[in-house]
Amino acid sequence: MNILFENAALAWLAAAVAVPPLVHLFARARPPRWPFGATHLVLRVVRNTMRLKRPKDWLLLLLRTFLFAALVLAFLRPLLFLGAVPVPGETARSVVVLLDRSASMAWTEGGQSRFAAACAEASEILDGLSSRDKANVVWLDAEPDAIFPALGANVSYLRRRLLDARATNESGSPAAALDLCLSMLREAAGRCELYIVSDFQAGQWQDVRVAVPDPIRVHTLSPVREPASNGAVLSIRTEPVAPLAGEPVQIVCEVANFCAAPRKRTVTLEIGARRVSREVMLAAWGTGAAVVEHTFAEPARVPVEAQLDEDAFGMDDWRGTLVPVREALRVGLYGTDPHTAPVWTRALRALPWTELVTVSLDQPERCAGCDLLMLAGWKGEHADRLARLRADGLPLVCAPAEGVSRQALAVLAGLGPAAAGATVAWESLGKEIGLQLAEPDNRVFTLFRDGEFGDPAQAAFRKRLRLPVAGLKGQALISFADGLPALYLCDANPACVLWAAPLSAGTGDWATQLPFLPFFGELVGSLRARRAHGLQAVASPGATVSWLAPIQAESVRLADEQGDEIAVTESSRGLEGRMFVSDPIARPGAYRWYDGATCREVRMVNFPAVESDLRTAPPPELSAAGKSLLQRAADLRAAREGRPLWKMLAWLAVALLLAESAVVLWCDLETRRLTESLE
Amino acid sequence: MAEHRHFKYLKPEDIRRLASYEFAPKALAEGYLSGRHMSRQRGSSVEFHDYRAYTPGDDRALIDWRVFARTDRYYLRTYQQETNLECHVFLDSSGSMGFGAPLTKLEYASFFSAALCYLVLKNSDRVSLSLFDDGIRAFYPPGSTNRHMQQLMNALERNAPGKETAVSAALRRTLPLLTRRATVIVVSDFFDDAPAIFEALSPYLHRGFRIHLFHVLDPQELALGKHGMWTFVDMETGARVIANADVIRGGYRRALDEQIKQLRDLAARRNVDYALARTDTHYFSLFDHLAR
Repeated sequence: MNILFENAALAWLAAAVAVPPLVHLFARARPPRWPFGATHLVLRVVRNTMRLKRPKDWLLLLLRTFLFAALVLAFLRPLLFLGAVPVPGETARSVVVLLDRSASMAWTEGGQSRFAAACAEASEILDGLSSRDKANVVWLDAEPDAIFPALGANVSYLRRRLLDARATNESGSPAAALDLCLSMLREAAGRCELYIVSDFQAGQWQDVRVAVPDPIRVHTLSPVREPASNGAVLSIRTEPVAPLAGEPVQIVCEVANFCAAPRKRTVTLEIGARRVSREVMLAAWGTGAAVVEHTFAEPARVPVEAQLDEDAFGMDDWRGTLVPVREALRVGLYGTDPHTAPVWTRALRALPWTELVTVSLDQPERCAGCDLLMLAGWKGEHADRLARLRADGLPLVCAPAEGVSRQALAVLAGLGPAAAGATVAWESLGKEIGLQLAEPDNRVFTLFRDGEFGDPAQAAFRKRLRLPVAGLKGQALISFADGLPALYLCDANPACVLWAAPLSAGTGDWATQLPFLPFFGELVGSLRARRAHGLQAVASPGATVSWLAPIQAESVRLADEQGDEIAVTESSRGLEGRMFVSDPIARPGAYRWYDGATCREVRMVNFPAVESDLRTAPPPELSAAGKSLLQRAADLRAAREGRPLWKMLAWLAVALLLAESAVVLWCDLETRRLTESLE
Repeated sequence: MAEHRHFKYLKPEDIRRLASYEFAPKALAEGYLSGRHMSRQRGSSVEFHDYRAYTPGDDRALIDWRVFARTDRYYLRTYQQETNLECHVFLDSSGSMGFGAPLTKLEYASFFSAALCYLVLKNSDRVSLSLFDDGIRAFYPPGSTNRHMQQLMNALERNAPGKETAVSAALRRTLPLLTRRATVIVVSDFFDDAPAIFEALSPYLHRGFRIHLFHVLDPQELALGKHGMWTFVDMETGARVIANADVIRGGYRRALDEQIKQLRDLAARRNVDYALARTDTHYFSLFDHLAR
């Protein structure tokens, strides 16, 4: 800590500090002399009263001396430097201000948003730059960018941009923003400084690892004044994801309470034309779910919106989704294995809510459009392609052909490398063998618990496939009577079922049993995909939305819920139709594509859930001593330019003057009181 | 009494007023000349005093034979003997006596002492004068002549405030000089230790002296009438004390009252006359204390 005096030439004023003691001494000699007879009595009384008076005199002398000292120091205009005193002629500075304008910065406290406070801090930083310094401002949002392509000297332009800036509804990408800042500073000359002005939202920053080269000095500034409490709709989904028309569906709306106190919130769900409200009790910093049972009457893309009762941070109180309600499940069938394919084909055609699609593994996009892929007599071909499809959310039922290795099955199920050697093999049985439920509690068998639909394991086999499942994680759903798996459910997500029970007439009678078809239906229904293929109806703020309009579409436009239009451009035109793409969407909401006056398509733009949790936690690297100082921009400026102390000293002098007056008044009152008491 | 030249402390108008005064102390004096004052010394006189039983050695001429005839016992008639009076005036001439305006305490006390000496001498009695501060500055033995009077007046006129007050020391040193029982009059501001003063007076009382104490104080001393800050300069030692008169007034008055009360109480216990003499009252009023 160092102090410099701007008016050091007035140092001679320091002699004024001696005035009070001199005046004090001088005042003591002033009383007129009075030759007196009974002085010994006076002395006796004075000795008693001076015990009280002396401390007051000393206090007054002290206050007056300090008063003069404060005034003298104020005239000298001292500057306080917390660090080293800057040397005149220091090298120019290169400053990059990383300014967070993600959605969480829109939180308002004390009538000012965090972003506005952050802009003020950034302006303060820019104000402190000299004409030789260069600067730039990098916006921290979903796709960080800078105002200037490189560091520039036009600081006033940067300040104007800060005045016009608004917080976005986007999530932030701190790592990308830091990379951009550091890349600019690495190429810069002079003393490099990086100022990070952000709320350091925990969800964004806690995993960010900052590796700043030593020459670059990093300062962090946070506009956060007080902890924020918020409630948000985190997600809205259906169980199942892609329901069928007429199928009972659970619509689950997950709500979070980012607050230290438990709260009861009301969630209003709009499911098409239906409107339902649910109250959710949320624990402190907890989440809860509002669940609504619903049955979609007909196939369509049904918008479902959830609205939370409004709070101070209202952007995340709404969330919407489009539920793809379909008429039937698309089940892809690959292969022509005579032991399984005919029976599966018959069974799928018998189920009214399934749509059989014959696929080839050379057409992976056609496979990806299915809800379930059944491989009849798979010989191990395209194992990696199938594994990718499964990893993308497509469940598989595989009846392998003889000779398929355990490694191929492991790749298919995504279980990693397996021991070589064992292969799938046919086994003829000396006598017929039955089936048994290996996992009776599995939901596949729920339908059969009361016995109305018979025993799904009712069958007798004379041949079977022996599966090399040793070493493959999973469990048998149904096994043969001797314990070998007939249907083996691999421990994978989405599911992968290995089918070892032949269904042809010469090998067994399972396909002819009445409970087989209900069981097959339950198996297909339970294995259906957990995701909706080809549905891109939900986006985040900052992203564009697109629509493939029919070729004959004439007047295509995009409008939000208030009817305000968003600019769109036709990006391509082809046989399939005309692709229209919007400008980046700023606000969350439901956006509708119109062809003329008719709404053709709906897109949902949802608030990024990560921005709802307003808790802050700067990265440990930035909090480390020596790397960063969490302080105000004014403090940083003061550290560089020195903090002027004259105002503080002037106030101190006023305070001392008041204190001196108070002491004098007190002394007078005390003297009067003493005099009255003595008299 | 012969004509007096004009003295500072004994003015003609005062002498005229003193003509109507008579110094008649309450106690009997012991003198070697027959005079007009009653004496406890028994002797030949016309004033009957008392009877007492005869003891061998008594003068048979004093036996009252009439009483013997009635009672068949010997009783002697005793008479009061009138003697001349002897008065010793102790005048405090310490520095503190110089305080006061327009009349200092010393001047006031000198006026009173001069008038007293005049009254004593007017009755052909004997008077002595002791001027003291911390010691005996001057002692004029008892006398009753005009010349003696002039000496006393001149001594008073020459007198000036001196050093510190030491009443007790002065009384102790003067005691050997006083051979006969007499009246002692002490005029002082008594800025001394009161018990020590009365300890010094004890031998006088034991020898039958009649003692009068005149406590001379200025009104400013009594009231501490000034206001504000003052540098109090001790008139005896020159010591300085800076104090606010308003602040210390109460305590000062209480301390002074305590001192006066202590003197008054000690005097009452020892059968000593005590009178407070304010310099703003005429000193003639002090003679009332002597006449009672």
